[in-house]
Amino acid sequence: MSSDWVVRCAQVGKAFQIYKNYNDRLRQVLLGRFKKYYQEFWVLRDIDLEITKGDCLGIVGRNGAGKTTLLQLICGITQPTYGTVNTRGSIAPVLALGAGFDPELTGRENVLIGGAILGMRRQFIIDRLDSIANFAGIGEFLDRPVKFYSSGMYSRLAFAICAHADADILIIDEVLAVGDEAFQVKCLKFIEDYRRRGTILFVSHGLAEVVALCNRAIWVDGGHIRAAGEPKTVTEAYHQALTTEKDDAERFHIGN
Amino acid sequence: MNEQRALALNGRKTDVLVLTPFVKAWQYRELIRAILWRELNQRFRDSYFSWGWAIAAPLLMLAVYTVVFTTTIKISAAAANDTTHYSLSIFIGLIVFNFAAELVYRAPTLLHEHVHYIKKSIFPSETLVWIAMLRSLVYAAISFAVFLAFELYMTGGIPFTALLIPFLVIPFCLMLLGITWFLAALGAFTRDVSHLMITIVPVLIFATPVFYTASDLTPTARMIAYLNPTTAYIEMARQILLFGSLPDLLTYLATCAISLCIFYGGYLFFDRYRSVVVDVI
Repeated sequence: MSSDWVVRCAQVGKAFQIYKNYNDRLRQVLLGRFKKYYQEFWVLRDIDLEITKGDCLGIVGRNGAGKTTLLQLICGITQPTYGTVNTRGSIAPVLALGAGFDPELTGRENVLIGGAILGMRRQFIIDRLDSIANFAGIGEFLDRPVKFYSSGMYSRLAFAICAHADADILIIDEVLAVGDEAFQVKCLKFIEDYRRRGTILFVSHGLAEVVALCNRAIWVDGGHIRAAGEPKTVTEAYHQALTTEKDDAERFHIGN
Repeated sequence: MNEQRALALNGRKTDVLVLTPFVKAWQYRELIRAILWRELNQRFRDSYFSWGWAIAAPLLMLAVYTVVFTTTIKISAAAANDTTHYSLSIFIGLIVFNFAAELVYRAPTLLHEHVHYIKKSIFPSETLVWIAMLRSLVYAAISFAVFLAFELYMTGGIPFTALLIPFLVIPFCLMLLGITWFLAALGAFTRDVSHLMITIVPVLIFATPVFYTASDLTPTARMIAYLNPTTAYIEMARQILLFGSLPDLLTYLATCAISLCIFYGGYLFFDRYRSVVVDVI
Protein backbone atom coordinates (compact mmCIF):
# COMPACT_ATOMS: atom_id res chain seq x y z
CA MET A 1 0.00 0.00 0.00
CA SER A 2 1.64 3.17 -1.12
CA SER A 3 0.84 6.57 0.29
CA ASP A 4 0.47 8.50 -2.96
CA TRP A 5 -2.78 6.89 -4.04
CA VAL A 6 -5.33 9.00 -5.91
CA VAL A 7 -8.16 6.48 -6.12
CA ARG A 8 -8.81 3.83 -3.55
CA CYS A 9 -11.69 1.36 -3.58
CA ALA A 10 -11.94 -0.86 -0.53
CA GLN A 11 -14.27 -3.87 -0.70
CA VAL A 12 -16.71 -2.02 -2.95
CA GLY A 13 -19.98 -3.50 -4.08
CA LYS A 14 -22.81 -1.98 -6.05
CA ALA A 15 -26.33 -3.25 -6.54
CA PHE A 16 -28.93 -1.45 -8.56
CA GLN A 17 -32.48 -1.48 -7.35
CA ILE A 18 -34.73 -3.09 -9.92
CA TYR A 19 -38.39 -2.20 -9.53
CA LYS A 20 -41.22 -4.05 -11.17
CA ASN A 21 -43.23 -0.85 -11.56
CA TYR A 22 -43.39 2.77 -10.55
CA ASN A 23 -45.69 2.09 -7.59
CA ASP A 24 -43.03 0.00 -5.92
CA ARG A 25 -40.63 2.92 -6.19
CA LEU A 26 -43.02 5.18 -4.34
CA ARG A 27 -43.63 2.50 -1.72
CA GLN A 28 -39.88 2.14 -1.26
CA VAL A 29 -39.53 5.84 -0.56
CA LEU A 30 -42.43 5.99 1.86
CA LEU A 31 -42.22 2.56 3.51
CA GLY A 32 -38.67 1.54 2.65
CA ARG A 33 -37.59 1.23 6.22
CA PHE A 34 -40.07 -1.58 6.88
CA LYS A 35 -39.89 -3.66 3.72
CA LYS A 36 -37.86 -3.99 0.55
CA TYR A 37 -39.82 -3.37 -2.64
CA TYR A 38 -37.09 -3.98 -5.17
CA GLN A 39 -34.85 -6.71 -6.43
CA GLU A 40 -31.14 -6.26 -6.45
CA PHE A 41 -28.99 -6.48 -9.49
CA TRP A 42 -25.42 -6.85 -8.39
CA VAL A 43 -23.15 -5.09 -10.83
CA LEU A 44 -19.99 -5.08 -8.76
CA ARG A 45 -18.90 -7.09 -5.76
CA ASP A 46 -15.86 -6.92 -3.55
CA ILE A 47 -13.75 -4.65 -5.69
CA ASP A 48 -10.37 -3.72 -4.24
CA LEU A 49 -8.43 -1.27 -6.28
CA GLU A 50 -5.74 1.27 -5.64
CA ILE A 51 -4.49 3.66 -8.27
CA THR A 52 -1.39 5.72 -7.63
CA LYS A 53 -0.50 9.10 -9.06
CA GLY A 54 0.77 8.91 -12.62
CA ASP A 55 -0.82 5.56 -13.31
CA CYS A 56 -2.56 4.84 -16.56
CA LEU A 57 -4.96 2.06 -15.74
CA GLY A 58 -6.58 0.14 -18.57
CA ILE A 59 -9.94 -1.47 -17.83
CA VAL A 60 -11.17 -4.24 -20.09
CA GLY A 61 -14.18 -6.48 -19.90
CA ARG A 62 -17.32 -7.51 -21.73
CA ASN A 63 -20.53 -5.50 -22.02
CA GLY A 64 -22.34 -5.40 -18.71
CA ALA A 65 -19.29 -6.50 -16.77
CA GLY A 66 -19.47 -3.40 -14.57
CA LYS A 67 -16.77 -1.20 -16.10
CA THR A 68 -18.89 1.91 -16.46
CA THR A 69 -20.42 1.44 -13.02
CA LEU A 70 -16.94 1.20 -11.55
CA LEU A 71 -16.04 4.50 -13.20
CA GLN A 72 -19.29 6.08 -11.99
CA LEU A 73 -18.46 5.02 -8.45
CA ILE A 74 -15.01 6.51 -8.70
CA CYS A 75 -16.49 9.74 -10.04
CA GLY A 76 -18.99 9.81 -7.19
CA ILE A 77 -21.93 9.94 -9.59
CA THR A 78 -23.43 6.95 -7.83
CA GLN A 79 -22.74 5.67 -4.33
CA PRO A 80 -21.48 2.18 -3.50
CA THR A 81 -23.89 -0.21 -1.83
CA TYR A 82 -21.13 -1.27 0.52
CA GLY A 83 -17.47 -0.48 0.88
CA THR A 84 -15.79 2.85 0.39
CA VAL A 85 -14.43 4.78 -2.52
CA ASN A 86 -11.94 7.57 -1.89
CA THR A 87 -10.38 9.91 -4.40
CA ARG A 88 -7.88 12.73 -4.21
CA GLY A 89 -7.93 15.55 -6.68
CA SER A 90 -10.33 16.72 -9.36
CA ILE A 91 -11.83 14.32 -11.87
CA ALA A 92 -12.76 14.93 -15.50
CA PRO A 93 -14.91 12.10 -16.84
CA VAL A 94 -15.50 11.44 -20.52
CA LEU A 95 -18.18 8.83 -20.05
CA ALA A 96 -19.54 6.70 -22.86
CA LEU A 97 -21.50 8.84 -25.29
CA GLY A 98 -22.53 11.38 -22.77
CA ALA A 99 -20.35 13.84 -20.97
CA GLY A 100 -23.61 15.39 -19.87
CA PHE A 101 -24.58 17.23 -23.00
CA ASP A 102 -27.97 18.83 -23.34
CA PRO A 103 -29.12 17.72 -26.80
CA GLU A 104 -31.07 20.93 -27.39
CA LEU A 105 -28.08 23.20 -26.89
CA THR A 106 -25.35 24.00 -29.35
CA GLY A 107 -21.89 22.59 -28.94
CA ARG A 108 -20.62 25.97 -27.80
CA GLU A 109 -23.28 26.33 -25.09
CA ASN A 110 -22.55 22.79 -23.96
CA VAL A 111 -18.89 23.64 -23.69
CA LEU A 112 -19.74 26.54 -21.38
CA ILE A 113 -22.00 24.43 -19.18
CA GLY A 114 -19.84 21.31 -19.37
CA GLY A 115 -16.87 23.42 -18.35
CA ALA A 116 -18.80 24.85 -15.42
CA ILE A 117 -19.73 21.32 -14.32
CA LEU A 118 -16.03 20.46 -14.35
CA GLY A 119 -15.45 23.45 -12.12
CA MET A 120 -13.98 25.86 -14.65
CA ARG A 121 -14.70 29.55 -14.35
CA ARG A 122 -16.59 31.19 -17.18
CA GLN A 123 -13.76 33.44 -18.28
CA PHE A 124 -11.34 30.51 -18.16
CA ILE A 125 -13.56 28.56 -20.57
CA ILE A 126 -14.08 31.51 -22.88
CA ASP A 127 -10.34 32.00 -23.07
CA ARG A 128 -9.90 28.41 -24.13
CA LEU A 129 -12.87 28.14 -26.49
CA ASP A 130 -10.69 28.37 -29.60
CA SER A 131 -8.36 25.74 -28.31
CA ILE A 132 -11.27 23.46 -27.44
CA ALA A 133 -12.88 24.01 -30.84
CA ASN A 134 -9.56 23.27 -32.46
CA PHE A 135 -9.07 20.07 -30.55
CA ALA A 136 -12.62 18.88 -31.28
CA GLY A 137 -12.25 19.78 -34.95
CA ILE A 138 -15.97 19.74 -35.72
CA GLY A 139 -16.02 23.04 -37.59
CA GLU A 140 -19.34 24.85 -37.89
CA PHE A 141 -21.14 22.10 -36.05
CA LEU A 142 -19.93 23.76 -32.87
CA ASP A 143 -22.81 26.19 -33.29
CA ARG A 144 -25.42 23.55 -34.10
CA PRO A 145 -27.51 21.75 -31.46
CA VAL A 146 -25.79 18.66 -30.16
CA LYS A 147 -28.77 16.48 -31.15
CA PHE A 148 -27.64 16.80 -34.77
CA TYR A 149 -24.19 15.46 -33.99
CA SER A 150 -22.88 12.11 -35.09
CA SER A 151 -21.54 9.91 -32.31
CA GLY A 152 -18.03 10.75 -33.50
CA MET A 153 -18.60 14.51 -33.19
CA TYR A 154 -20.12 13.93 -29.80
CA SER A 155 -17.11 12.21 -28.35
CA ARG A 156 -14.75 14.65 -30.05
CA LEU A 157 -16.36 17.54 -28.24
CA ALA A 158 -16.62 15.64 -24.96
CA PHE A 159 -12.98 14.74 -25.05
CA ALA A 160 -11.95 18.25 -26.02
CA ILE A 161 -13.66 19.76 -22.96
CA CYS A 162 -12.14 17.31 -20.54
CA ALA A 163 -8.73 17.68 -22.12
CA HIS A 164 -8.84 21.37 -21.20
CA ALA A 165 -10.08 20.93 -17.64
CA ASP A 166 -6.65 20.56 -16.01
CA ALA A 167 -8.06 17.77 -13.86
CA ASP A 168 -5.90 15.49 -11.76
CA ILE A 169 -7.68 12.36 -12.91
CA LEU A 170 -8.94 11.79 -16.43
CA ILE A 171 -11.53 9.09 -16.96
CA ILE A 172 -12.10 7.90 -20.49
CA ASP A 173 -14.89 5.44 -21.16
CA GLU A 174 -14.96 3.94 -24.63
CA VAL A 175 -15.05 7.32 -26.29
CA LEU A 176 -12.18 6.72 -28.61
CA ALA A 177 -13.88 3.79 -30.28
CA VAL A 178 -16.34 6.02 -32.15
CA GLY A 179 -13.76 8.57 -33.27
CA ASP A 180 -11.96 8.19 -36.58
CA GLU A 181 -8.30 7.38 -36.76
CA ALA A 182 -7.16 10.97 -37.08
CA PHE A 183 -8.96 11.83 -33.87
CA GLN A 184 -7.74 8.71 -32.12
CA VAL A 185 -4.16 9.66 -32.93
CA LYS A 186 -4.77 13.13 -31.52
CA CYS A 187 -6.26 11.70 -28.34
CA LEU A 188 -3.58 9.11 -27.86
CA LYS A 189 -0.96 11.78 -28.20
CA PHE A 190 -2.79 13.88 -25.64
CA ILE A 191 -3.03 10.95 -23.25
CA GLU A 192 0.69 10.30 -23.53
CA ASP A 193 1.44 13.92 -22.68
CA TYR A 194 -1.12 13.96 -19.91
CA ARG A 195 0.41 10.96 -18.20
CA ARG A 196 3.27 13.12 -17.08
CA ARG A 197 1.02 15.31 -14.95
CA GLY A 198 -2.03 13.24 -14.13
CA THR A 199 -3.64 9.89 -13.66
CA ILE A 200 -5.75 8.16 -16.28
CA LEU A 201 -8.45 5.52 -16.15
CA PHE A 202 -9.01 4.16 -19.57
CA VAL A 203 -11.83 1.81 -20.57
CA SER A 204 -11.46 0.38 -24.01
CA HIS A 205 -12.32 -2.54 -26.22
CA GLY A 206 -9.24 -1.76 -28.26
CA LEU A 207 -6.79 -4.10 -26.56
CA ALA A 208 -3.85 -2.81 -28.56
CA GLU A 209 -4.45 0.71 -27.22
CA VAL A 210 -4.53 -0.58 -23.68
CA VAL A 211 -1.23 -2.34 -24.14
CA ALA A 212 0.32 0.68 -25.83
CA LEU A 213 -0.83 3.31 -23.34
CA CYS A 214 -1.30 1.76 -19.95
CA ASN A 215 1.16 0.64 -17.33
CA ARG A 216 -1.45 -1.43 -15.51
CA ALA A 217 -4.66 -3.13 -16.50
CA ILE A 218 -7.58 -4.83 -14.85
CA TRP A 219 -10.09 -7.20 -16.36
CA VAL A 220 -13.57 -6.81 -14.93
CA ASP A 221 -15.78 -9.83 -15.39
CA GLY A 222 -19.18 -10.42 -13.82
CA GLY A 223 -18.65 -7.68 -11.28
CA HIS A 224 -15.31 -8.99 -10.06
CA ILE A 225 -11.77 -8.13 -10.95
CA ARG A 226 -10.77 -11.32 -12.70
CA ALA A 227 -7.22 -10.37 -13.50
CA ALA A 228 -4.92 -7.47 -12.75
CA GLY A 229 -1.37 -6.61 -13.59
CA GLU A 230 0.69 -6.09 -16.72
CA PRO A 231 -1.51 -4.84 -19.58
CA LYS A 232 -0.12 -7.44 -21.96
CA THR A 233 -0.84 -10.40 -19.68
CA VAL A 234 -4.31 -9.15 -18.72
CA THR A 235 -5.45 -8.37 -22.24
CA GLU A 236 -4.16 -11.70 -23.51
CA ALA A 237 -6.04 -13.59 -20.83
CA TYR A 238 -9.14 -11.56 -21.63
CA HIS A 239 -8.78 -12.16 -25.34
CA GLN A 240 -8.32 -15.86 -24.70
CA ALA A 241 -11.52 -15.98 -22.65
CA LEU A 242 -13.46 -14.13 -25.32
CA THR A 243 -12.77 -16.86 -27.81
CA THR A 244 -13.48 -19.78 -25.50
CA GLU A 245 -16.37 -18.61 -23.32
CA LYS A 246 -19.82 -18.42 -24.83
CA ASP A 247 -21.78 -15.21 -25.19
CA ASP A 248 -24.78 -16.10 -23.07
CA ALA A 249 -27.37 -13.98 -21.30
CA GLU A 250 -26.71 -15.57 -17.89
CA ARG A 251 -24.57 -12.68 -16.80
CA PHE A 252 -27.52 -10.28 -16.95
CA HIS A 253 -29.36 -12.27 -14.27
CA ILE A 254 -31.29 -10.16 -11.75
CA GLY A 255 -31.44 -11.22 -8.11
CA ASN A 256 -29.01 -12.98 -5.87
CA MET B 1 -24.53 -9.80 4.50
CA ASN B 2 -27.41 -8.77 2.30
CA GLU B 3 -29.42 -7.17 5.02
CA GLN B 4 -26.57 -4.94 5.96
CA ARG B 5 -26.02 -4.00 2.35
CA ALA B 6 -29.69 -3.33 1.75
CA LEU B 7 -29.66 -0.90 4.64
CA ALA B 8 -26.81 0.96 3.11
CA LEU B 9 -28.92 1.56 0.00
CA ASN B 10 -31.26 3.87 1.80
CA GLY B 11 -29.11 5.69 4.24
CA ARG B 12 -25.89 7.30 3.21
CA LYS B 13 -24.70 9.21 6.22
CA THR B 14 -24.12 12.85 5.57
CA ASP B 15 -23.69 15.75 7.91
CA VAL B 16 -26.02 18.57 7.03
CA LEU B 17 -25.27 21.71 8.95
CA VAL B 18 -27.36 24.84 9.06
CA LEU B 19 -25.28 26.55 6.41
CA THR B 20 -24.72 23.52 4.18
CA PRO B 21 -27.35 24.35 1.53
CA PHE B 22 -26.02 27.90 1.17
CA VAL B 23 -22.36 26.95 1.20
CA LYS B 24 -22.97 24.44 -1.56
CA ALA B 25 -24.99 26.89 -3.64
CA TRP B 26 -22.16 29.40 -3.34
CA GLN B 27 -19.61 26.77 -4.20
CA TYR B 28 -21.46 25.98 -7.44
CA ARG B 29 -22.36 29.57 -8.29
CA GLU B 30 -20.57 29.45 -11.64
CA LEU B 31 -22.53 26.38 -12.65
CA ILE B 32 -25.81 27.88 -11.46
CA ARG B 33 -25.09 31.04 -13.41
CA ALA B 34 -24.17 29.16 -16.58
CA ILE B 35 -27.31 27.02 -16.65
CA LEU B 36 -29.64 29.79 -15.48
CA TRP B 37 -28.37 32.17 -18.13
CA ARG B 38 -28.78 29.53 -20.81
CA GLU B 39 -32.36 28.71 -19.71
CA LEU B 40 -33.44 32.34 -19.62
CA ASN B 41 -31.92 32.94 -23.02
CA GLN B 42 -33.45 29.85 -24.52
CA ARG B 43 -36.96 30.69 -23.43
CA PHE B 44 -36.99 33.89 -25.42
CA ARG B 45 -34.41 33.23 -28.08
CA ASP B 46 -36.65 31.99 -30.83
CA SER B 47 -39.52 34.39 -30.36
CA TYR B 48 -40.12 37.69 -32.08
CA PHE B 49 -41.23 39.77 -29.12
CA SER B 50 -38.85 38.00 -26.76
CA TRP B 51 -39.15 39.59 -23.30
CA GLY B 52 -42.35 41.36 -24.31
CA TRP B 53 -44.20 38.10 -23.68
CA ALA B 54 -43.05 38.05 -20.10
CA ILE B 55 -44.71 41.44 -19.63
CA ALA B 56 -47.77 40.81 -21.78
CA ALA B 57 -48.74 37.56 -20.06
CA PRO B 58 -49.35 38.96 -16.56
CA LEU B 59 -51.10 42.05 -17.96
CA LEU B 60 -53.52 40.02 -20.02
CA MET B 61 -54.23 37.72 -17.13
CA LEU B 62 -54.83 40.67 -14.84
CA ALA B 63 -57.20 42.34 -17.31
CA VAL B 64 -59.30 39.21 -17.74
CA TYR B 65 -59.52 38.43 -14.04
CA THR B 66 -60.32 42.00 -13.09
CA VAL B 67 -63.14 42.25 -15.59
CA VAL B 68 -64.60 38.90 -14.62
CA PHE B 69 -64.40 39.40 -10.88
CA THR B 70 -65.66 42.98 -10.77
CA THR B 71 -68.53 42.68 -13.24
CA THR B 72 -70.00 39.20 -13.26
CA ILE B 73 -68.75 37.23 -10.27
CA LYS B 74 -68.32 39.21 -7.08
CA ILE B 75 -66.41 37.07 -4.61
CA SER B 76 -64.74 39.78 -2.60
CA ALA B 77 -66.26 42.61 -0.62
CA ALA B 78 -63.45 44.85 -1.83
CA ALA B 79 -64.44 44.30 -5.45
CA ALA B 80 -67.71 46.17 -5.02
CA ASN B 81 -66.42 49.59 -4.05
CA ASP B 82 -62.90 50.02 -5.39
CA THR B 83 -62.05 48.36 -8.67
CA THR B 84 -58.52 49.75 -8.91
CA HIS B 85 -57.55 48.56 -5.50
CA TYR B 86 -59.15 45.23 -6.12
CA SER B 87 -57.33 44.60 -9.38
CA LEU B 88 -54.01 45.53 -7.78
CA SER B 89 -54.85 43.18 -4.96
CA ILE B 90 -55.51 40.35 -7.44
CA PHE B 91 -52.27 41.21 -9.20
CA ILE B 92 -50.24 40.63 -6.05
CA GLY B 93 -52.06 37.37 -5.41
CA LEU B 94 -51.39 36.18 -8.94
CA ILE B 95 -47.69 37.04 -8.87
CA VAL B 96 -47.13 35.16 -5.64
CA PHE B 97 -49.31 32.23 -6.61
CA ASN B 98 -47.87 31.85 -10.11
CA PHE B 99 -44.35 31.97 -8.74
CA ALA B 100 -45.14 29.06 -6.46
CA ALA B 101 -47.29 27.20 -8.98
CA GLU B 102 -44.67 27.26 -11.72
CA LEU B 103 -42.12 25.67 -9.40
CA VAL B 104 -44.53 23.12 -8.02
CA TYR B 105 -45.55 22.05 -11.54
CA ARG B 106 -41.96 21.70 -12.61
CA ALA B 107 -40.44 20.16 -9.51
CA PRO B 108 -41.50 16.51 -9.98
CA THR B 109 -39.97 16.33 -13.47
CA LEU B 110 -36.97 18.52 -12.72
CA LEU B 111 -34.52 15.66 -12.28
CA HIS B 112 -35.94 13.77 -15.27
CA GLU B 113 -35.44 16.85 -17.43
CA HIS B 114 -31.77 17.02 -16.53
CA VAL B 115 -30.98 13.34 -16.46
CA HIS B 116 -28.17 13.86 -18.98
CA TYR B 117 -26.31 15.96 -16.42
CA ILE B 118 -27.03 13.81 -13.41
CA LYS B 119 -26.03 10.49 -14.91
CA LYS B 120 -23.28 11.46 -17.27
CA SER B 121 -21.26 13.97 -15.34
CA ILE B 122 -20.23 14.79 -11.81
CA PHE B 123 -23.17 17.04 -11.22
CA PRO B 124 -24.50 18.48 -7.95
CA SER B 125 -28.18 17.70 -8.54
CA GLU B 126 -29.41 20.01 -5.77
CA THR B 127 -28.34 23.04 -7.78
CA LEU B 128 -31.09 22.27 -10.30
CA VAL B 129 -33.57 23.34 -7.65
CA TRP B 130 -31.75 26.64 -7.09
CA ILE B 131 -31.71 27.21 -10.84
CA ALA B 132 -35.43 26.48 -11.18
CA MET B 133 -36.23 28.81 -8.29
CA LEU B 134 -34.08 31.65 -9.62
CA ARG B 135 -35.60 31.27 -13.06
CA SER B 136 -39.12 31.57 -11.68
CA LEU B 137 -37.95 34.46 -9.53
CA VAL B 138 -36.86 36.34 -12.63
CA TYR B 139 -40.30 35.95 -14.19
CA ALA B 140 -41.93 36.97 -10.93
CA ALA B 141 -39.66 40.03 -10.83
CA ILE B 142 -40.78 41.03 -14.33
CA SER B 143 -44.41 40.75 -13.27
CA PHE B 144 -43.58 42.70 -10.13
CA ALA B 145 -42.05 45.53 -12.15
CA VAL B 146 -45.21 45.63 -14.24
CA PHE B 147 -47.23 45.72 -11.03
CA LEU B 148 -45.27 48.68 -9.65
CA ALA B 149 -45.67 50.62 -12.90
CA PHE B 150 -49.36 49.80 -12.87
CA GLU B 151 -49.79 50.88 -9.26
CA LEU B 152 -47.96 54.13 -9.87
CA TYR B 153 -50.12 54.87 -12.86
CA MET B 154 -53.45 53.97 -11.24
CA THR B 155 -53.01 55.38 -7.76
CA GLY B 156 -50.29 57.95 -8.31
CA GLY B 157 -47.92 56.54 -5.72
CA ILE B 158 -46.33 53.52 -4.14
CA PRO B 159 -46.23 53.26 -0.34
CA PHE B 160 -42.67 53.38 0.93
CA THR B 161 -43.27 50.18 2.92
CA ALA B 162 -42.86 48.51 -0.50
CA LEU B 163 -39.13 48.78 0.16
CA LEU B 164 -39.56 45.99 2.68
CA ILE B 165 -40.40 43.48 -0.05
CA PRO B 166 -37.05 41.62 0.20
CA PHE B 167 -38.02 40.61 3.72
CA LEU B 168 -40.95 38.73 2.23
CA VAL B 169 -39.22 37.49 -0.92
CA ILE B 170 -36.28 35.82 0.83
CA PRO B 171 -38.22 33.57 3.23
CA PHE B 172 -40.74 32.84 0.48
CA CYS B 173 -37.95 31.71 -1.84
CA LEU B 174 -36.48 29.52 0.88
CA MET B 175 -39.84 27.91 1.44
CA LEU B 176 -40.22 27.25 -2.29
CA LEU B 177 -36.73 25.74 -2.42
CA GLY B 178 -37.71 23.32 0.32
CA ILE B 179 -40.93 22.34 -1.41
CA THR B 180 -39.13 21.92 -4.73
CA TRP B 181 -36.37 19.75 -3.24
CA PHE B 182 -38.98 17.52 -1.67
CA LEU B 183 -41.12 17.19 -4.79
CA ALA B 184 -38.11 16.74 -7.07
CA ALA B 185 -36.76 13.83 -5.04
CA LEU B 186 -40.19 12.25 -4.73
CA GLY B 187 -40.92 12.83 -8.40
CA ALA B 188 -37.78 10.95 -9.37
CA PHE B 189 -39.29 7.79 -7.97
CA THR B 190 -42.79 8.08 -9.32
CA ARG B 191 -44.49 10.02 -12.06
CA ASP B 192 -47.65 10.17 -9.98
CA VAL B 193 -46.36 13.23 -8.15
CA SER B 194 -46.37 15.15 -11.39
CA HIS B 195 -49.96 14.17 -12.17
CA LEU B 196 -50.99 15.00 -8.63
CA MET B 197 -49.59 18.52 -8.95
CA ILE B 198 -51.28 19.10 -12.29
CA THR B 199 -54.53 18.07 -10.61
CA ILE B 200 -54.37 20.03 -7.39
CA VAL B 201 -52.64 23.29 -8.31
CA PRO B 202 -55.53 24.72 -10.38
CA VAL B 203 -57.79 23.98 -7.41
CA LEU B 204 -55.40 25.58 -4.97
CA ILE B 205 -55.73 28.95 -6.69
CA PHE B 206 -59.21 29.14 -5.18
CA ALA B 207 -58.09 27.81 -1.82
CA THR B 208 -55.56 30.65 -1.69
CA PRO B 209 -56.73 34.25 -1.29
CA VAL B 210 -55.83 35.32 -4.81
CA PHE B 211 -59.19 36.65 -5.97
CA TYR B 212 -60.40 37.47 -2.49
CA THR B 213 -58.70 38.50 0.72
CA ALA B 214 -58.44 36.58 3.97
CA SER B 215 -60.77 39.15 5.56
CA ASP B 216 -63.59 38.00 3.24
CA LEU B 217 -63.54 34.64 4.96
CA THR B 218 -65.34 33.47 8.05
CA PRO B 219 -62.96 33.06 11.04
CA THR B 220 -62.90 29.26 10.68
CA ALA B 221 -62.24 29.39 6.95
CA ARG B 222 -59.53 31.97 7.59
CA MET B 223 -57.76 29.57 9.96
CA ILE B 224 -57.80 26.90 7.28
CA ALA B 225 -56.59 29.35 4.63
CA TYR B 226 -53.62 30.26 6.80
CA LEU B 227 -52.57 26.61 6.91
CA ASN B 228 -51.41 27.29 3.37
CA PRO B 229 -48.24 29.33 3.92
CA THR B 230 -48.73 31.16 0.63
CA THR B 231 -51.79 32.83 2.16
CA ALA B 232 -49.71 34.66 4.73
CA TYR B 233 -47.27 35.85 2.09
CA ILE B 234 -49.99 37.18 -0.17
CA GLU B 235 -51.69 38.99 2.69
CA MET B 236 -48.46 40.50 3.98
CA ALA B 237 -47.44 41.56 0.46
CA ARG B 238 -50.78 43.34 0.08
CA GLN B 239 -50.25 45.17 3.33
CA ILE B 240 -46.85 46.56 2.45
CA LEU B 241 -47.45 47.12 -1.26
CA LEU B 242 -51.01 48.44 -1.26
CA PHE B 243 -51.94 49.75 2.15
CA GLY B 244 -48.59 51.00 3.34
CA SER B 245 -49.00 49.21 6.65
CA LEU B 246 -46.69 46.82 8.43
CA PRO B 247 -47.68 43.18 8.85
CA ASP B 248 -48.30 41.80 12.28
CA LEU B 249 -44.86 40.90 13.66
CA LEU B 250 -46.03 37.62 15.17
CA THR B 251 -47.55 36.48 11.86
CA TYR B 252 -44.37 37.47 10.09
CA LEU B 253 -42.07 35.60 12.46
CA ALA B 254 -44.30 32.52 12.48
CA THR B 255 -44.33 32.51 8.68
CA CYS B 256 -40.56 32.80 8.53
CA ALA B 257 -40.17 29.98 11.02
CA ILE B 258 -42.48 27.70 9.03
CA SER B 259 -40.66 28.62 5.82
CA LEU B 260 -37.30 27.74 7.32
CA CYS B 261 -38.65 24.41 8.54
CA ILE B 262 -39.91 23.64 5.04
CA PHE B 263 -36.56 24.72 3.58
CA TYR B 264 -34.48 22.44 5.78
CA GLY B 265 -37.02 19.63 5.70
CA GLY B 266 -36.99 19.62 1.91
CA TYR B 267 -33.22 19.79 1.77
CA LEU B 268 -32.76 16.92 4.21
CA PHE B 269 -35.22 14.80 2.28
CA PHE B 270 -33.43 15.52 -0.98
CA ASP B 271 -30.05 14.90 0.60
CA ARG B 272 -31.20 11.58 1.98
CA TYR B 273 -32.30 10.28 -1.40
CA ARG B 274 -29.83 12.04 -3.63
CA SER B 275 -27.63 8.97 -4.07
CA VAL B 276 -30.54 6.64 -4.75
CA VAL B 277 -32.15 9.03 -7.21
CA VAL B 278 -29.26 8.64 -9.66
CA ASP B 279 -29.90 4.91 -9.89
CA VAL B 280 -33.66 4.96 -10.35
CA ILE B 281 -34.14 7.91 -12.66
